[in-house]
Amino acid sequence: MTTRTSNMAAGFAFVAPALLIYLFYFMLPIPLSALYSLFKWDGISPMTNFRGLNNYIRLFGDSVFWISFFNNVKLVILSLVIQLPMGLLLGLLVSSRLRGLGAYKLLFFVPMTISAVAIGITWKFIYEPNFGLLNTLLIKIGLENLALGWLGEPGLAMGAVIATISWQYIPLYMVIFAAALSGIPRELTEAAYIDGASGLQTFLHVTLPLLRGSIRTASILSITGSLKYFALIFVMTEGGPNYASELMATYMYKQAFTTFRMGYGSAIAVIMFVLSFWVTILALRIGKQSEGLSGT
Amino acid sequence: MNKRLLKGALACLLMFTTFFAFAGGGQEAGEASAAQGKEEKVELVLWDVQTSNILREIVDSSAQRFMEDYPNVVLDVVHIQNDAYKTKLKVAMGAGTPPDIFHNWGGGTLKAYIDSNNVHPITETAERLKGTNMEASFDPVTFDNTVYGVPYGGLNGVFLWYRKDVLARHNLQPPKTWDELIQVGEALKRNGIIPLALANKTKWTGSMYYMYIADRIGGNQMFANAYAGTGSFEDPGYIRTGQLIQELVRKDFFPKGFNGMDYDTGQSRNLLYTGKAGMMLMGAWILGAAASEAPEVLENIGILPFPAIEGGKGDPSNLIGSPGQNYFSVSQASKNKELATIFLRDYVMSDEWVQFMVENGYVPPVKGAAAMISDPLLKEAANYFEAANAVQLYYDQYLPPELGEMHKDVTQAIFGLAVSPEEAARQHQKALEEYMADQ
Repeated sequence: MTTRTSNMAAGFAFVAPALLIYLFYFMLPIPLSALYSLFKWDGISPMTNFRGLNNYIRLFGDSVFWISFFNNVKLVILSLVIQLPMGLLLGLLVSSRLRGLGAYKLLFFVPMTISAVAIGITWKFIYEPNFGLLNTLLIKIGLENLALGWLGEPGLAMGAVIATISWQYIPLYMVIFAAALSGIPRELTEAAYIDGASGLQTFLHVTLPLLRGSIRTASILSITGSLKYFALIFVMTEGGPNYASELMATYMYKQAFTTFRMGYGSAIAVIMFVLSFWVTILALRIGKQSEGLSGT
Repeated sequence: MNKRLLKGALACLLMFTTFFAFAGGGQEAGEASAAQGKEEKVELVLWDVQTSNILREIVDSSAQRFMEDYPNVVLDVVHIQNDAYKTKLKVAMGAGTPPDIFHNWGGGTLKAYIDSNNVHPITETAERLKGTNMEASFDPVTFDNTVYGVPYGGLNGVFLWYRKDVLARHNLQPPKTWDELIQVGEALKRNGIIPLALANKTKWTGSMYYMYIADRIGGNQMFANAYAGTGSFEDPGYIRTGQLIQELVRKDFFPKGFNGMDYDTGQSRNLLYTGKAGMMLMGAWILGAAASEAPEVLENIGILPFPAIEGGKGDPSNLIGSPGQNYFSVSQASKNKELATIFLRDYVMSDEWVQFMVENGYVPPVKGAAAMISDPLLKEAANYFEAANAVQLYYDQYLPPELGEMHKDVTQAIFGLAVSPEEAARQHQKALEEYMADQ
C-alpha cells in the first residue's frame, strides 16, 4: 500500500513539470479567453468594460469573420481531399519493395523538417510574379497566359497557399501511412494473392480496411490542424489580398494584437475552440460507428 | 527501499532542475552584478527594433557610455525584430512588465498606451531638448501639450525614387506633375518597363499613394479635418484619390500581382535595382537598403517630390513622412523613471549620436541638419524636408491602431479594384464614426 502511494507520488513528481506547463499554458487560457471575450478590452488597460455577449453578436455580423470561416472550411475539405490520398499514395510507394526507394523516402520527408516560416518565404519567391521560379518556368515553356500574380489575385491566393500547405503536410501523412502499412502482416496480402485477387482488389479489400485506424487519426489531425491553421497564411499573404485568404486564426491574431481588440480576438478564439472540439468529437464518433458496423 | 529512495531523489532533482531552468535567466544577471559591485545595482531595460539597422551600434555604444558615467547602473539593451516587437511590447504592457525604455513610432499606437496610463510624460526634458532638436520632431509623441518620447531616428520623408539611367535611355524627363507622371509611365510601359514598383502585401506601401494623392488634391487639412470630425473621409477629395489610384492600376502602372508582393523581402526593391521598373514611391530609408543590397545602382537613383496634381489644393512641397521616425519612451511601470529620462535627455541625440547618424546616411532631427550632410541624395531629401510646408505623419501610425489597420485594408482593396472609390470613402468614414462612438 505504502509502496503504491509512494510510487504514485514519484510518478506525479515526474510528470509535474510537464503537467504544470500544460495546465498553465494550454488549459488555463481556455477559460481565460472565454472570460476576456465578454469584455471590450485592448489588452493593456484594466479590464473594466464588461459587454456581455456583445463581441459575439458583432462577430456574427462581421463579414470578414464569415469570409475567414468559409476559408477555413475550404482548407479543411481541400486538405482532406488532397493531403490524405497523396500521403497514402506516397506511403504505399515508399513501403513497396521497389529498388532505390531509400533516397525517395528521405527526399519526400524533407518538407516536414523545414520550419513553416522558411517554407513560406521560399514559396513567396517561387510565386513571385515578375521573376519568380514558377512564372519564369511557365513563360519558358510557352504558357505566358498562365503566368499570374499568384499571391496577389484574390481568386488565386488561397489556392496558391493551400498548394504550399499540402506540400508541407503530405510527408506527415506519408509517414503515418507507411508506418501503418509496415504493421500489416505479409500473410494477409499473400493469402489474397493466392486467392487470385488483383493488386487493386488486395488494396481495396485487405489493405485499406486495415488502415482504418490510421486514416481516422490522420483525418482528425488534418481537420483540427486546418481549423486552427495560421503559419503559412500569415507568412505568405497575411490573409490578403482583401481578406481573400483570411483564416479564423489570422483574423484572431490581427484583432487581438494588431488592432488592440483583445476581447474581440478572444471571442474568435472561443469560437475556434468550440468548433475544433465538436468536430473532433464528431469525427471520433463517426470513426467508431463505422468500425462497429463493419464488425471488426 | 533503496530503489524508492532513489526514485524520490530523482524526482526531486527533476523538479529542481526544471524550476531553475525557468528561473535561471533572471538569476544569472543578478548574481553577476551582486558579485562585482558593493553599492546597490540598478538595472534598466531598453527595447528597440534595430536588429539589422546600423542604428543599433549607436544605441549600444551610448548605453555603454551611460553605464560608464553611472557605474551603479546596468542598461540592458535588447534588439527585437520589428513585427515581433509590436506583439511582444503589447503583451509586456498588458502583463505590467514593460521595459523601462521602449521603442515606438509615436502616433495612435503610442496614444493607446498613454490612455491606459502606461507611458511616463517627459515634457520638461523635451522642452530642454527643443533647444537643439527640431521642434516638429516631437509632434508624433505630443498629445494635449504633453510630450511622451524623444526621437532617436532620422527625418524621414516619402519620395518618388527613379532610375536616372532608365529614364534617360528612353529620353524621358523626371515627372513633376501628375500628367507628366502618366506620360512617363505610358512611355516606360511601351518599352516593357514597369512604371512604378510596388509591393503591396505590406499595405503601408500602397497607403503612401493614398496619403500623397489626397494631400495634393485636398490639401494637408483634409485629413486632419476628417479625423477631427469637422471634415469627412467621404470628402470629394478622398473619392478623387481613390479614382486616381485606380486609374494607375487600370493603366497597368504597377507590377503584376503587386498586392501579393512583400516589401520586407525586397520584392519591389529588386524591380528597381534591376531596372525592370522605372520609379518607386518609398521612404528615404530605401537609400540605406540600397546601400547594402545593391550599392552599384545608387549612383543611378534620383529623388523627386511626389508630383503636383493639376487643380489640387495641396502645396506640392508637403511631405508624407515622420520628423523622427523612431522614438524612445519611458514606461510608467519603470522603477527608475528618472534614470531612464536622463538617458533620453543626455545620451540620445548627443553630439556623438548626431555625428553617427550623419556619417551613416541619416538626417538627424536637429536644427540645421541639411548643412551637415554631404551625401547628395540625402542632402536633397533633407532640403525637401526643411522646405516642406507641412509634414503629415503616416496615417497608419497617426491613427489609433484599429483605424490604422482599417485604412490599410481598405486602401489595399482600392488597389485591388475590389471596392469603388465611393465605397472605400464610405468604409473609412463609417469605421471612424464607429470608433468615435465607441470611445
